[in-house]
Order: sequence, then C-alpha cells, then structure tokens
Amino acid sequence: MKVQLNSQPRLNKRLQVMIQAKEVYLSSDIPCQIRGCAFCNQESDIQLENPIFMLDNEILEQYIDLIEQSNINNIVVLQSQVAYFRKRQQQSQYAQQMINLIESNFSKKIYVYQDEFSIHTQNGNPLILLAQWYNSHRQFLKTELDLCLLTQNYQMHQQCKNLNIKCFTIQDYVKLYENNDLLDFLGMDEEFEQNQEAINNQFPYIPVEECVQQIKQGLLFEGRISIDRNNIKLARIFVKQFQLEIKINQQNRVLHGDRVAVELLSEDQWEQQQKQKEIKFDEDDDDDGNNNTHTNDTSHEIMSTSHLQNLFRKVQSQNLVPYGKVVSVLQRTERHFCGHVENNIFVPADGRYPNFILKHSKYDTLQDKKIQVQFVDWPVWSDKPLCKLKKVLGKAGDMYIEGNVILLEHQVEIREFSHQVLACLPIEGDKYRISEQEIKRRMDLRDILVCSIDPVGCKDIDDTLHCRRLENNLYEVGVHIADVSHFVKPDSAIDKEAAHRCTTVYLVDRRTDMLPKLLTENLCSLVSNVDRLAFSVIWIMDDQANIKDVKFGKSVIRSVASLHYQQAQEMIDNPNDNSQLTQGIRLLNMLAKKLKQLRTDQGALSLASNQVKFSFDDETHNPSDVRMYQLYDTNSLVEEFMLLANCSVANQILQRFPSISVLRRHQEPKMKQLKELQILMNDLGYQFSFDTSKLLSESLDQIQRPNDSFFNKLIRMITTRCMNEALYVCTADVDYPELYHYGLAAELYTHFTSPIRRYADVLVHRLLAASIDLESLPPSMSNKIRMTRICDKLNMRHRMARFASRASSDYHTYLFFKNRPQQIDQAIITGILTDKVTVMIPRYVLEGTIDAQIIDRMNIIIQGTRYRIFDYIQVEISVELHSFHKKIHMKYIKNNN
Amino acid sequence: MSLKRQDGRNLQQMRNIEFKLAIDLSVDGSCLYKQGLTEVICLVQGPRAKTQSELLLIEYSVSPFSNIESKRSSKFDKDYSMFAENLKESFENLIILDENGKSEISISVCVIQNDGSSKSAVFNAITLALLDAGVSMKDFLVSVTVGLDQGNLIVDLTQEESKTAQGELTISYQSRKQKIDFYELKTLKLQQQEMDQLSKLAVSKADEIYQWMKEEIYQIKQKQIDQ
Amino acid sequence: MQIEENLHHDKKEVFLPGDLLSDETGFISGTNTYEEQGKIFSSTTGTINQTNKLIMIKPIKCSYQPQIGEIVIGQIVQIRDKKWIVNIGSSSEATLHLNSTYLPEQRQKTEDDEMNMRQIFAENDLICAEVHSVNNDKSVNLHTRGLKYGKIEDGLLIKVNHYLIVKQKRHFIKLNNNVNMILGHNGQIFLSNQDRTTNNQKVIYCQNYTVQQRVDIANTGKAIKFLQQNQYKISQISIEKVLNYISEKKPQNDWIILIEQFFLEQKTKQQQDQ
Repeated sequence: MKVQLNSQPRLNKRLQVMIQAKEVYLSSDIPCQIRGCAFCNQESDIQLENPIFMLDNEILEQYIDLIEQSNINNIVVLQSQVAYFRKRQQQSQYAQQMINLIESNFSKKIYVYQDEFSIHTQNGNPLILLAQWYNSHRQFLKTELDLCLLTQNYQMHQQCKNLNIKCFTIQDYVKLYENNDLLDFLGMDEEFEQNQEAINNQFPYIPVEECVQQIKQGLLFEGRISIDRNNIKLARIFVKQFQLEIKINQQNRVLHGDRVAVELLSEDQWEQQQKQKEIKFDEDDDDDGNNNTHTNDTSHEIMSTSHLQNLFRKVQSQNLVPYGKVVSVLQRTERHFCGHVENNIFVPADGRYPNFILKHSKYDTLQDKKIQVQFVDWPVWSDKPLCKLKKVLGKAGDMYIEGNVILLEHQVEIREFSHQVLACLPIEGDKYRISEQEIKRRMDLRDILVCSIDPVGCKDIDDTLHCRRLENNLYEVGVHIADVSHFVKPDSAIDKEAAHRCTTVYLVDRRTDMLPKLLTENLCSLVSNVDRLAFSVIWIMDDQANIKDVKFGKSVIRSVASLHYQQAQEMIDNPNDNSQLTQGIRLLNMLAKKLKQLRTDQGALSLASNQVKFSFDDETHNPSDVRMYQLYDTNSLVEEFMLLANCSVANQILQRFPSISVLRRHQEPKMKQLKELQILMNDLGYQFSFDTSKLLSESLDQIQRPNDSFFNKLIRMITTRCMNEALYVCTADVDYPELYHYGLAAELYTHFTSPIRRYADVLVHRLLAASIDLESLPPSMSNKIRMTRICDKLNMRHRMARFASRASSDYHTYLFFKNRPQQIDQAIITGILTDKVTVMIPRYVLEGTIDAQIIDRMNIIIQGTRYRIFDYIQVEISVELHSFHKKIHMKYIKNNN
Repeated sequence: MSLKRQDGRNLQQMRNIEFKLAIDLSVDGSCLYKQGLTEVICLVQGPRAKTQSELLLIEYSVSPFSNIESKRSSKFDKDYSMFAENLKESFENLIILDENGKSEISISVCVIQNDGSSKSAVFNAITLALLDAGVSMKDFLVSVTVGLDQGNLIVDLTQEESKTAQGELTISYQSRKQKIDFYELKTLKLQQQEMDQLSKLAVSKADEIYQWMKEEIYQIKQKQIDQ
Repeated sequence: MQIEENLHHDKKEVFLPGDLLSDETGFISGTNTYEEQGKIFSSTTGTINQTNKLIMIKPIKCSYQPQIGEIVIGQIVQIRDKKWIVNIGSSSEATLHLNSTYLPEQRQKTEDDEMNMRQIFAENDLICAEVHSVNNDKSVNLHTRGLKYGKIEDGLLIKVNHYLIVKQKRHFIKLNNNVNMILGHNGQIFLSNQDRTTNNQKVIYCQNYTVQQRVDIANTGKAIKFLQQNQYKISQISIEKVLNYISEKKPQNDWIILIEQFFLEQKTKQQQDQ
C-alpha cells in the first residue's frame, strides 16, 4: 500500500506553530459500486445504475434543490467534497442542506467515494481523475457506462473534452434533458446581466486578496455585518480584534451576516454618540484633526499600529462612534430566505434583509405564496439583490404555512422522520409490550401509586411522582422519568436525528418533535394505567425534606392517574378526599414547600417570564384570548422535585465522569445592567443589592407596592433581562466552581427530567446509566471534544427554539389584535429612553413605547401630564407584524380620573 | 463500503514497519525502528563486565520533541518510571542472564517521534536491538497496540486515534510460548466481551508481526553469513 | 517450528532465538542454547555446530568471549588485593594477578611490590596482555609475562567490533609503513612506533615521533576505521591492501574519496565473483 506523507501547520497548546506530519495510506481497491461490476464485488447497500453523475462543489452548493427535483438519481460524491461541506455545516445553510441530502437520501443513490484514500485520485483534480478512472473501469462492467460530469468551471470543461469525458454545465443539462419547470430554479439568465452604470452610493468591490492585505496593514477592518431589525439602513460591524464598533453609512450591497471589509471615513464625518459631551469633543478636535488626513493617504506606514492605537484611545475616551463604508464583501452569508412575492419582487420575512429581484417565468403562480429563495448576486447597477426560487412553501396567511416559515427561518428541522429513523422504533408499533426479560432487569415499581401532573392537554408526559410514608418519620419520594434512552440507542439513526434536532420546538399552535410520535405520545409518554419503562430517582427524606439517601435505577412503573395542575390542586384542597393518592400528593406538596424554602434560603431566585397563553376559537382557529400563565401550588410542587432530581443526577454523573458530563450552568448576571436597576430602585426608596443571588432574591421579595401585585412581577421581569442565558457545558471545558447555577443557587445542575423533548436529557440518561453500571457508555460519548461540540449545538438549537416560540407567540398576538382594533387598556411605565418611554400592559404582557418629554430619570411629561416611572396610564393598542416580531403601537389616552 | 480509518488504512491494518539494525557500531547492538511515523531508537551494550549492581539496566526516555504538544518528560514521571519497570520485568524473563552474576546488559531506548503506539514500538525495537547484539534470549518478544474506536476494532493506533479511542490495549507477546508478557489497557469503560475481542485480536496480530519480523531477520542474517 | 533437516546442517542455516534445534532426547545443549522440557532451543542468532551429541550455536555476533592464548588490550579499572581488574570488553571481568606480571628480575613478589602495585599499573592505564585462563564462571585471568606485554602508551587506540579481527599467527605486527600494531582479539587495536615484534627490550621505550610517523599512524587508523564501517575483516593483509591502494594513488588531499573508491572497487569485485 502506498503511503503519502502530508504535513500541515498546527498550533499547539502553547500557541506555537508546529508542523504536524500525517501519513495517508492510499489503496487501489476502493470499489466503484456500480451494479454488476465484475471487479469490485464488495457487498453494499448502494448500487449505482446508469446514468451516473458527478457534480462539482458549486453545483452542489447552488443548485441542490434543482438536483433534488431532477432525474439525477445516481450520484458519486467525493469524500473531500463532503468534508468541505461538513466543515461549513454550522455557518452555512447551503452546506447543511447538502449534508442532509447525503445523510438521509431516500430517492437518490448517493455514493461517497473515498478519494482521499484512493491511489487513482491523487495529484490533480479529483473529480476529473475519478471520472477518468471510471472510464477505464468500463471493461469490468456488464452494461455500457454512462457517466456525466456537471461543472460550472470552464477549465474543467476543456480538460474533460480532451479526456473524452461527458461534461455539461447545469444550465445545458437542464435544457437538454430535464423538464422545463426546473428552468425557474436555475435563476438568472445571462441576457439579464448587462453592463450598466453603477447606481448612487454603490461602487465595485475591491478584490478579496487586496482586502486581506489591507486588513493586515490596518487600513481596512474586518467584521460581520449586523443590521437593525427595525431599520434596514442601520448597519454596524464589530471588529473583534480591536473591540471596536463601526457604524456603516454606505452599505454598498451588504446583507445581514456577511463578512465584510470596512474602510473608516475621515473623522469629521463621524457623529457623536452623546450630545452632552459636545464641548469636550470640540476642544480635542484641532489636535487630532491633522493626523487623520492620512486616512486615505497612500503612505501605509503612517497608518501603522501606533496610529491605530491613538485612534482607539480617542474613540474610547470620547465615546465616539466611528463611521465607515463597506469596500468589499469577503464572504456572503449563506442562508435561505423565506418570504412572499409582490410582482417580481421578493420580500423576505426577516426585516434585516432587503427586497430581492426574483426572476420567474410565471409570476402569477407565485402570487400570495410563501416561498423560499436563494441569493444569487447583487450587481453594482442594481439597488436590489438578485435571487432565485428554491422552494414554494404554500399560501401566505395560512397559519400552518406561517408556522413553517417561522421554523425555517429559525433553522428548525421540519422534515418528516426518515424511514431509517422509523426503522429504529420497535416493530410492534403501538402494540409494543415490555418483555418479561426487560422487567426482570429493572426495579418493579408497578404496585406503587405513581401519578403525573402536567399542563392541560399534555401528550408527552415525561415525569411522574410518588411519595409514601415510611417508619421513623421518613418519607420515600420517587421521581420517574420516561426511559427514552431505552428506545434511542446510541449512534443509531434515530439517535443521530435526535442529536441533530436537539429539542422539541413548541409553537403556539403546534410542536415540532425531536423524536417520532410513536415515542413521544405513546411508548415513552407515562400515561396512566399502562406499564411503562422509566428511569427512577428515589430519595429517602425526613419531614424537613433533608435527603437521607438517594438511589438511581431503571424501573417499570404503572401510573395511576394523569392529572393536570388544576385537578391536582383541587384534590389537595378538597378536605373530603382522603384517598391514598391524594394523601401522597399532599405529602409531596408539604415536602415541596420545605424544599422550596431550603432553596430560597440558599439564594435561589424566582424570576418571572413574559410568557403568555393563548386560547383559541374553535371554529376559526384564531386566538380568542391572551393571558399570562396561571400558576398553581402544584406547578411549584412538580418543579421542586424536578429540580431536586436534576441536582442529584448532576452530582452523580459528575462524580463518575468528571470530564465528560453534560451539565447546565448559569453564569452571574450582567452587572452593568443590574447596577442601573439598582440606582433606579434606590431612587424609588427600595433596598436593592445583588452581590449574591441570595441578597438579590431578598431584595426582590421586599419590593412591593400596596394593591399592586403586578409591580413585583414586573421588577422580576426586568431583573430577568439582566440575567445571562443558562447554557449546557461539557465539564471538560469548565472548572468546578464555574459550574454553579446562579438562578437556582445550585452547585451542580443538569437536565434529566425531559428526555422526550430535550436531547441533553438523553445524554444525561446515558451517563447516569453508565455511572451506576447498568450500561456501558457509548464510545461517542467518551470523547471530550465531541461532547463539547454537542453542547455548543444544544445551546444553539435551544436558543433558536426559544426565538421560534417567541416569534410564534408574537404572530398570534398580532392575529389577536388584528381582529380587535382600538383596544384600550391600562399600562405601566417601565423604562425611560432618550425621547420615549417604554410601557407594558399587564394583562397581555405587551411592551411598547410612547413619545414623552423627559425631565430626569424618574419623571416624564406625556401630553402635558406629569408622570413618574412605574405609574399607570391608559393606552390604545394596535399591533403590526414586522419581521416575526410584533410591533406594538400605543397611543396615550388622557386619564379622566 | 469498506470502512477506512482517518489515514486511509483498513480497520485491522498495521502501519508500514521498517527497521534498521546496527546503526551505531560503537555499541554492541542497535536498532532504529519505524512504525509509520513513530520512531524508536534502541542501543544495547553488553553483556559486559558488571559495573553496577543490577544485571539488566533499562533506560527508557521520550524525547521532548517527539510530541507536537511538547511535554517535558522526566524520569520522575510516574508513567515513565512504571513503564521502564515493566520493560525490565519483561526482558528479565526473556534474556538468559549470566548465572554467575558477573555480567550486565544495558539497554537504552528512546522514542524519537511519537505518533501513537509508541509503547509497542519500544518493545519491538528492544527485541531487535538485543537480537543485533547477539544477546542470548529465550524467545522473540513482539508487541502490538489495538484499540476500540467507535465500535470498531482497530490495530496500531495513531496519536489522533488514541485520543478518541474508547479503549487502547498494548500487549507484548511471546509467540512460541503463546504467553502474554505485558498487558496495558487504557479505557474509560469497556465491556467484558469487548475486552476479550481486543485481547484476541492483539494476540493474532502479534503472531502476524512475529512471523514477518522473523522472516526479515532470517534474510538479513543469511546475507551476512553468505558474505 | 519444526526444522526438517534438523541434524544435517550442510547448508549454513541461520537460527534465531527460540528456534527449535532438536526435540529428540539424548542431545546435550551446548553454548548459546538452552533446554526446556527435553527440547533444545537456540538462544542467539547464529549457525548450528554439532559434534556428536553436543549441539551448539556459533553466534554471528556476540560480545567478546576470550579464549586462552588470545592477545587483548584492556584498561585497568580497579586495583584490588594483589590483582588488577581489567576491562577487556568481555561479558565478565578480567583479572590480572600480581604474580602474573613481568618484572625485570624474575623473582617472587614481595609485600613491597604489593604496596607499590600502582607504580606498575595505575587505574586507567592501558595494558596489553594474554589470556592466561578462563574460569568456569567465564571470568578471565590475564598475564603479562614477557617483554611485549605490559603497559602501552604513546600511541593510537582504535576500537572495532571484535568479530572483525582475523585470528592470525602474529598479533604484534609491523606494517609496511613501519607502523607497529597490536591487534587485540577483543577488537582493540593499538598503533604506535614501538616495535614489540622483537624481544629487544630497549625498543619498547618511547621514542619521539617524527612527522611522517604521525601521518602514517593516522592513515592506518583511518584505514581501520573504514574497514570497520564497511564491516570488512581486519587483518594485516587487509590493512596493507588499503594502505597500498592509497599510496599507489598518491593521495593529495582527499583521503576519504580515495577510500570510498577503494571500497567501491572491492564491492564490485565481490559481485563479479558471485
């Protein structure tokens, strides 16, 4: 076997550059996988048939939808191509789609040829070399080979011609062999692209190589564009290297998320951030003005680091905002856009993107449709970018389609589960019975009175509880979680799919499952009066809720009742109900209160969220009411025990697997914002300290206003906004004290209790099972680097899922108010901006702004009436939808009282 | 589709092994042993008149530049001293030492480049160097590293693979006696069945290497005699 | 491993450690073999050597095993009670007894001599000696009786592999170019201008070197080194062959190229012979 020695530079831990050598063993026996080949007779599930296609990277990236819909069924992809896309999978939706196609292809036969390890495809363009090899491989085939290379590269065309390889561009191919409907997916024709004058404010880009040079010299700045959601004209970049924010006044054809090179404008064009410091700025202006004339000078040496440092110092000391213009796009954002069509203009749903020009043969068919498009180009003569059709999603205004749009825009997977995934489910389907053998392996808890308490209409019940009194004033409390890991075996197709989806996404009107329905609603759902598999945590506690002992184990349970919160609450409150179950729930309630007290004593925060609940009209499916969630004692009952279970499990797995456990941590809040809140609260006469979570919790408790229960909740909401996001971490990356969960005041915390809807819990289940020697840890989980990557992905997906839920909630709020114009309601002033105040309507938990005159940070004047912060006013509400976010317009109505 | 490893090898394929005997003529026996990118050099002196109290001296070292993460290796490092101790035990059983206790053999072995499986390379290098020195010993000692990576049994792990591997087993094996001399298992958790598989694979691979190595030596020595 | 013609080793076949030599009873295991459960195995690399029922292995390469009468060069390591410990590169130590040394007046050694041992040979002195006897435990006794043995100094010592030394009639050699050589059987070669071929006592005393002598010694040393590097047998003939070749070609500057040429020619000659 031939060995090739490759070397590549690498950074070691001390950040020194090392050359790492690597051997690659080249073999000559990589099969062709063509049906009926006499030479390569290796067994495989993929058997290619004529015609066979090979595609270059550009086609795979740009025309993947076309390929999916076309008659191209047998594709040979290079391993290096897959690696190229896999590397960019996280950033680029194009690459993601390509990987999806390869990993879960049902209609197409895709063979990944391992070109990196093949002796035939070295030293040259692997695509052409492989095509050549296939051609020479002809002799072993029974049927004549029909191989076709699709490429957009002119040079490759020439080479293919010389080597007698069939080769087309995608355009030629579609025109020759495919249905005319596919032409629309090709995008722009050449005739459309004429040379025209550049329009105002737009100029050609500097070549990328030159940009990179200039960035190194410090003449240009590199960063990712972010555009304001509400005003597309406001764009800025953040230069990570220098911690410098630059506002863009000449956007020059950028899209949100592009990586761009920016040139600073001369300083006299900069605006000042704050007007108060105007005088100070003028004083210094003369001194530094001279230096700045060099900005556009050709002498690079003067723009050296010392100059840059001066610049930054000045920017920092004077709170200046530098302005710049975009001179080149280094890398376009790679995502698909959803939206609708107006004539030949595509209007994206995300407000951060401009309108696109769409070329399509039949515009009328696209009227009123939601579609998905792909960016093609933004020529210098056009004020709008060009795009091409990717997919027609459905009718606009349809609640289902709109939901789809929300999910797509938040990169939530909405595909059906593939048959490979479904094949991993038990064959018996919903008639699945737990085998005797399985029961023997587990603790049999079927004779214990176990019940579940969940919201109304919950179908995926993943937790149940029980409690019974033991001797010596001790109690046995058990939390039983659906044993999802029994059905989701590591590294199976279903596991990979779940790891890809990471979480179930809840929209107002539906949910997108992480696992197939059979599991979520049936086999794993711990419904009453059926035997179910569970993972149990059982504590022995005394009556002060001190834990005496804890035990983990897989079990079989049989829930006696699936209650909802209100039901459970009524059972507790009903003095005549003395059934065994009710007594158990009462005990749980008693212990939960003790636990809560313990937790609060340690400094756990109870924060409020602005989540709302919709009730729907049965006929129109429009929202008929919006309310805040109502909470019962029983909510907190379930919550307390879930928290306790999570903490116990976190301790257990960290002890056994100190370097590969998945935990959830919550860092300390953003101090700057809390400080602002502190000043405000102190002005209002409340004590407010936030040195520890306990002090903060106590401060929050004592902020009360007579006859106003909402006020406390409001302050909690504001505090919530100062909090950092809780994140999943792999313990390999984080040291022990940093694992602290601030909000819960828990040393260690993880997610264990909802494996049906969160993938993190499935991982934790496996860790726990391994830690008590029930099962061996899957190989993929003992890899620290991989676990870290999984955690990052979990965090990303969770954030996206939250955004999607919020977008959906906003959409429904919009629908609700659309049908009810001119609602008048009471609102509370929550914050003061430069020329506006923010107000919130307690009833709907809506926030909006009202113009006002500002006196100081406590007092304002609205239309002649003087108000203090946190006063109530009357407002009229109207809501508009803008890029997934409700835009609430409020109008002040003079209070007659 | 036949599964390939990161470097294009089949699952149970060794890297290419090369060795060169008598690289240093100033000592009695020497060997440069290459297994892929892992390189080990071994020098043997003796048997010679005793200068110290021990009959067999083994000095094991790892050069500081052998790894890309240059790690200071010291003789006080537990892993090193333990392995040196293991080496000594293994070879004390193998070498026919002077019954009168008047002569000593000193072996010094150094890992010049480490790209995984360095311990098995050390064993093989010492065996070859002893052979070169003409030290009398009872048998060949060959060593091999096998591992379990993502459910696949693999042989001769590279550095990268041993980072991700779930279990890594190094054995040294006396082929004629079918006796395992040294057994080192690095793992987080492994099932009994998997471990049996690993051991079995390691033994069969060690046999393979033994036959190959013997053939090579025969040829080399035959050439020397013919001269 | 079974070897079919295990008793008729006409061909010089190589045996490696652990190879089976004989599994029949009645054979005696000789040097470099070991017995286990009635079978005899080889313990080193070499060719088989059988005399009647005694099987032994003649090693291709091993550490120096002294035999009686061999001339060795060694270094004094230690002085002990009435004897010196000498390092001659063998597997066990060699001793030189006070009684086996040569004194001008042949007489019984007295206590005075014992006190003044260091005056005869001190630590780190180089001596040339003959193997007197080999004990059962393989330790060696040397003697320096005779004028040609004794302390050697003012010369060039070259260490080569002992197996390269060809056993000859004489090991105190005067080469063509008037360099005197002691060819130690243990692979140590000493070059000097001191003539030890005669029993003339006076010659042994140091004489000052001339420039030519120094050049000659250096050249000879180099030639030996190169012979070793190419693993050629070292004997008077082979050394002189090299030296003749060099002097024929009249070396100006580049010794190394000439020597390399020489070995190349030798090699091609060998190949032609084959």
